[in-house]
Amino acid sequence: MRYFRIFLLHFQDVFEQRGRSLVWLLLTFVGPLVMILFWRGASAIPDWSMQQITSYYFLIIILGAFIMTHIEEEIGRKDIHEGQLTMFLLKPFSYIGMKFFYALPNRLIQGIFGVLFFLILFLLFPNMFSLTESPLLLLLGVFVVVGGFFIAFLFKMIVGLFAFWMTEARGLFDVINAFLMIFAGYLMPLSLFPSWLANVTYLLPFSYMLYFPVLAFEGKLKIEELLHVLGMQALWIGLLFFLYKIVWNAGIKKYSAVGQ
Amino acid sequence: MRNIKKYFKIYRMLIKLNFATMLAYRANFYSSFGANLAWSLFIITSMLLLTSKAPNVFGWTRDELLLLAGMYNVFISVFFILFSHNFNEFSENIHYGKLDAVLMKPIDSQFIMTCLLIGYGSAIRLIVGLLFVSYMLSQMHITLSFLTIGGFIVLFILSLIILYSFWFFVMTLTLWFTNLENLVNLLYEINHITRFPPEMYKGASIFLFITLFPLTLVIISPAKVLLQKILLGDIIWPIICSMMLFVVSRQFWKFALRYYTSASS
Repeated sequence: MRYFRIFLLHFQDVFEQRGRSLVWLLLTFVGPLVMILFWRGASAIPDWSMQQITSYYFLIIILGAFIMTHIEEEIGRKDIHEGQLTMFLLKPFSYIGMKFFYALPNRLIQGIFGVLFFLILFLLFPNMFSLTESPLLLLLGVFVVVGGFFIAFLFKMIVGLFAFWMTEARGLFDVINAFLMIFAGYLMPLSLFPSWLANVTYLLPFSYMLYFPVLAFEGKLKIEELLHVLGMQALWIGLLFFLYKIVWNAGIKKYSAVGQ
Repeated sequence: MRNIKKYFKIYRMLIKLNFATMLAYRANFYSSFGANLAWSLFIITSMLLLTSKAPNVFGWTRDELLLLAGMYNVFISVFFILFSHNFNEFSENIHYGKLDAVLMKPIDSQFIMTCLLIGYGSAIRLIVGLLFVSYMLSQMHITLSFLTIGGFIVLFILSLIILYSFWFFVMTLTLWFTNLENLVNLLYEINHITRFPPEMYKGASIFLFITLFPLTLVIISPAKVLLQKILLGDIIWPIICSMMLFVVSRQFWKFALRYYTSASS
């Protein structure tokens, strides 16, 4: 209940700044829309129709808004470098729990904007999209999205904590974002990569953040494949949480803050 | 003329001061260096991946598209070195009332707001871009004459004016919407539009094409000089667009300043 109150407080904060939220969402539109236009100029795309490619990038926008948190910047700059972490340490809540309920409202607001945008487009151009019609696949797809959010959240938490060892961490965050653009599926469907590279990406956590949730909603995965994805997500959540604990315990020993 | 000399003198001083700042805050420099290296490699890798399944897009061959990617790195690095750090601080300067101090100085406010900071960290991106463009030109067996290089430099400068004016126009909006500091992030994303063939936007919608037209010229016009495919329109449009956008953005800034109310109590 106390965490829910934190969520509500932060929700009010985010809702007050909905203009900024809208700009963040617009920002996520540009890349995928450019990619749709790019593929329109290609003569043929192996195993993908133009309708499927269009749906893919629109789902990247919407599910990306729900899943991909950018919490690392706040952790690195405000909490660790500016010393706000002290405030969290003095409270009777776990740091990761607080951060989780700080990240959630942002994702919900942006996700809602994304869904509204998608619904408008879907009503205007219903033939442009290809989505699964099976309720079971949709339900499993929702679980895959939740799994993707947890992986993204834990991964970004770990990345943010690297600021304990760095005077300036923005460069690292940029490197990570460039990496995610390719390996999380923002750039193009991972199945279109050369097969050796695609196989490598399926082993990494990044594909389970966004790429597989998108495929799940497009109906490109069978039930057994979805269950395999859920299993891999559970594995990565466990591994990343373990890694988070190690990095947190090592980092907090290095932390120092100066008061006034 | 005296005025121009004065600004050159100030800018020379700024180059030295920014260099000293870079040496003093080395962690910032290394961080920016790493980020620029990562993004320059991302631009090239992403085009390699995209063209592995689409070797011909809107009549542009794989080599030509890769050349565009290299050109984008060269162009955007120069823009980042000269201007983008200033735009990063733009909305903060307005939001916290720092613009007061800018307006009090006997120097043009646009100059201070957009030319004060120099991002040396982006130099690595320029190097990667130049190396990749040279490699692609040799792969395509293209040799450059002095005339080609001269034409390239002129169009490159016009393109810089176009992008600068576009950014300046959009960021001026923060005089009214001071909390929209993430507008600059949107502009960074919009930059990516320039690294693809303009035919993409023309085919989608004529409205979209007209809206984005100045931005589509930014990389394409200088790149067409290198590819020796330049047409008269590729020279005239950048001249018209750069002059128009520069004048409009400057007038818009002057108009917007009338609504600046500062942030002090």
